[in-house]
Amino acid sequence: MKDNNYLKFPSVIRDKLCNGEFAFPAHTQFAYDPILAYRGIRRDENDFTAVSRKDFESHAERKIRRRGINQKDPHYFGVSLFQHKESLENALNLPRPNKKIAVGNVYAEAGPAEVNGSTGHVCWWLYDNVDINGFSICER
Amino acid sequence: MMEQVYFIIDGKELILDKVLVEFDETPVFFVCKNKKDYFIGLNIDLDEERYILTRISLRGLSKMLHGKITMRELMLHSDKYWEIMAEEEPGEDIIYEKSIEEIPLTVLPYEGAYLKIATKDLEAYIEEIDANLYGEDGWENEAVQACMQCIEELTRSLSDQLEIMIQQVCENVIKDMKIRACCDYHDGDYSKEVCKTKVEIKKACSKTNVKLRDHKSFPYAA
Repeated sequence: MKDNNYLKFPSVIRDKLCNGEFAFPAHTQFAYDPILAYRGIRRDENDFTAVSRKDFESHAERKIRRRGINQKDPHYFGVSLFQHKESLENALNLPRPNKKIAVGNVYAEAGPAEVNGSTGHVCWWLYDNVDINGFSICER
Repeated sequence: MMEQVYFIIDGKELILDKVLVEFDETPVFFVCKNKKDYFIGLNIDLDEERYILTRISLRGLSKMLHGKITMRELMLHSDKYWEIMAEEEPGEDIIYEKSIEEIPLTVLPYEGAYLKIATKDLEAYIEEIDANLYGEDGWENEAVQACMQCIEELTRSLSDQLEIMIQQVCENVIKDMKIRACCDYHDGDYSKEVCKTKVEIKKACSKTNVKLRDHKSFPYAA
């Protein structure tokens, strides 16, 4: 990663990158071709509000602490997407919270990403103020 | 990777075994286990961190993973469930144990919803569960264990009965020897005592449900 790129991150990552508290996992890619992926977002049944950066805030940005989430894990600072839509369709069968699936391309200009080939999981560390307009809500 | 304690139920630590469904970077439908049992967990409120947990059989888990039963059916295959409000640490959680009849159906996976297996990771997990379920000879380990338990109980029961029978035989042998010592060896008196003792033995054996094959083989029949 180029030295000045760290300034693009939200402050929660930027500060920790500066003081060495945060390090990207070994297989993180900084230059890559767009990756088609799906993300679960919260939406009520009749709410089709466009996907925005707010739907892509990490737990670190939202200051969330949950069971099973390690705040020292670099994934705490990224957002999850899946290469297989079926992985999220399972979530649609669980009533709470109300949710929809957004689809779009994970792209390098918006931040580095890590792909797990076995699980199809993509962790994306988004820069601040990036364009998420390429994502749209899937019809069920 | 260190095993993560997710809940503590009845004093036993449950570790997270497999995340089956994730949403908002959070496990929402997952498998937990302790040394003996498997459990299925469902996050019913992401913000308040509330969970529902039911104990499941390995067989039931395998059926769900193979698409033979729904996620809801797996959760309802139990007589009770736990409702958990998660706190900072598992040991601090507020836990309510309830009858399965009280489970709120509206928070469960939708009726008719089967778990879709979309990744190699989950396929590998299915193989692991099936390997645990079935022994090398193809028999279900849980069924084999149940049979073994039955056999042990039956053996224990038979052993107890046999012990009682032997004890009674010994007592009667001693009695017989006393009779011999006390009675004149007049056929009439001795025969009466022998018959009386035989009747007592038959009564005792009928209580233990033991059938006598040949009374002539008993010492006092000489």
